Amino acid sequence: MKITKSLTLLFLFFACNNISPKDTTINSGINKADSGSEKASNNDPSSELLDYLKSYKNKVSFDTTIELTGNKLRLQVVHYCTFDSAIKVPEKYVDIYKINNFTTHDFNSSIKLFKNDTLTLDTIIRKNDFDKCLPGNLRSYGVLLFPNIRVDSGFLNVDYSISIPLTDVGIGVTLALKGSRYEAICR
Amino acid sequence: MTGISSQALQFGKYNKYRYNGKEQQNKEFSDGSGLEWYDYGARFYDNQIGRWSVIDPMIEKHFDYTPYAYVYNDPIKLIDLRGMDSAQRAQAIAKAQEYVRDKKDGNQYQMGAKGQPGEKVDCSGLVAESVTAGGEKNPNHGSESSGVLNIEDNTTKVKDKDATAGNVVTFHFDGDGYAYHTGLVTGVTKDKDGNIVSFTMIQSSSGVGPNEKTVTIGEGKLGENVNGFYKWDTKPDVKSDTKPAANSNAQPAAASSKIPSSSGYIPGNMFSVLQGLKIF
Repeated sequence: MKITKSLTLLFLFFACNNISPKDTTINSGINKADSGSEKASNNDPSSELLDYLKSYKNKVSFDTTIELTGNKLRLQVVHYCTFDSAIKVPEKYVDIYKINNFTTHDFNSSIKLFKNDTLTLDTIIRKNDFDKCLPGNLRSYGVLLFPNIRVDSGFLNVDYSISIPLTDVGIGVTLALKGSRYEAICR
Repeated sequence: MTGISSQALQFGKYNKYRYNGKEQQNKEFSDGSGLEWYDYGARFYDNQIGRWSVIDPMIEKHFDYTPYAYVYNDPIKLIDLRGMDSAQRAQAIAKAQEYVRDKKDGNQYQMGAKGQPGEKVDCSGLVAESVTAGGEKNPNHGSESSGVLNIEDNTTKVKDKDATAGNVVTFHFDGDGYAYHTGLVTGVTKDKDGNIVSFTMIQSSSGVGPNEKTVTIGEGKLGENVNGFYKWDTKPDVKSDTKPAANSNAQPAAASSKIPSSSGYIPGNMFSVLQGLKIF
């Protein structure tokens, strides 16, 4: 309820940059930015908070098959909120949102890897799998977010961000899938 | 210069872009002759004598070697992309450019996202990944409430007059809302007194994601709220015969042998990675 009330106070929220029409966006030939989108984002100041709250109920799923080094690999990833209320984010991280005592949840990933139609890996990936990469504040308040599948050096990888919700305090980590085992890689 | 000619086949226009893709400045004089120097951005290189025309602007980092020699007289192994000591910063810029080049259609910005090129990333995520690509530890660590502030704490603020491509720039905004932003500087324009007039940076901005932008000092929301420029590169450059790992976050090996430890040159085998680098 507090969160709902606080939304009304967010009329001047600006996400991680503030773009003025006076600023000139240059086109260097590699720039695919759409200045119209930039403008639109400023008209929707509470979008970051709303997007995060919506993500609780939005499972992210991948089911992809690729041919890699002569083998057919099928990767199924389901990333979901655990609704465990295990993370209490200190006020200093979220005072910009006019929120006190923000309690949020861990996210986990269910990962299944099939090699030539044989299940070789079936596991749940949690933030704790990346403990070796995490400083104290991310161990306490970080959440496993934004899975992305990528092929690198002959392996299927899943990139994640472990960040304190609603902030840009966080790091990128990678889960390298190596047959029946996996390896947490700090970036 | 006589010798093997690039015009032997006698077709197409004269190719002014020569060794390392640098533009040859020729026919400057009225009689059709010229110096035939190569423009490396920071200074001109005379390929006929294998020397620079002026000293290395970064000579204080390797003052024990002649400032006129090209890459310690070892052009087979080493490349100097800009005519100045810049290897770590060049690698960071190359990474940032990868984010812009690989950006997918639609919004690729997400608060808290620390993705790689082609994935969603926020402003401090793009800067931190670029810095780690330059061989430094991720600067977004610490007890601050913002990644931008963590980056400021873990780097060294430089005078505006000393700002250069590859530095991190940060912005502080007053009022309600998210108060901080950051980007990686890719070019700086200064007036005759050395004061910054404008700079170009690669940033990840809300509603868009990675993009390149020119900021004029004192103009617009960004130009009016520059907090400072930050130097993060501290390590010796990679040894010339050390093959860079595929993982761009790999730490460079310590320099050794005859190459001074503070060399800023880039091993030849990194050139393909850096060909997209914009020269200022």
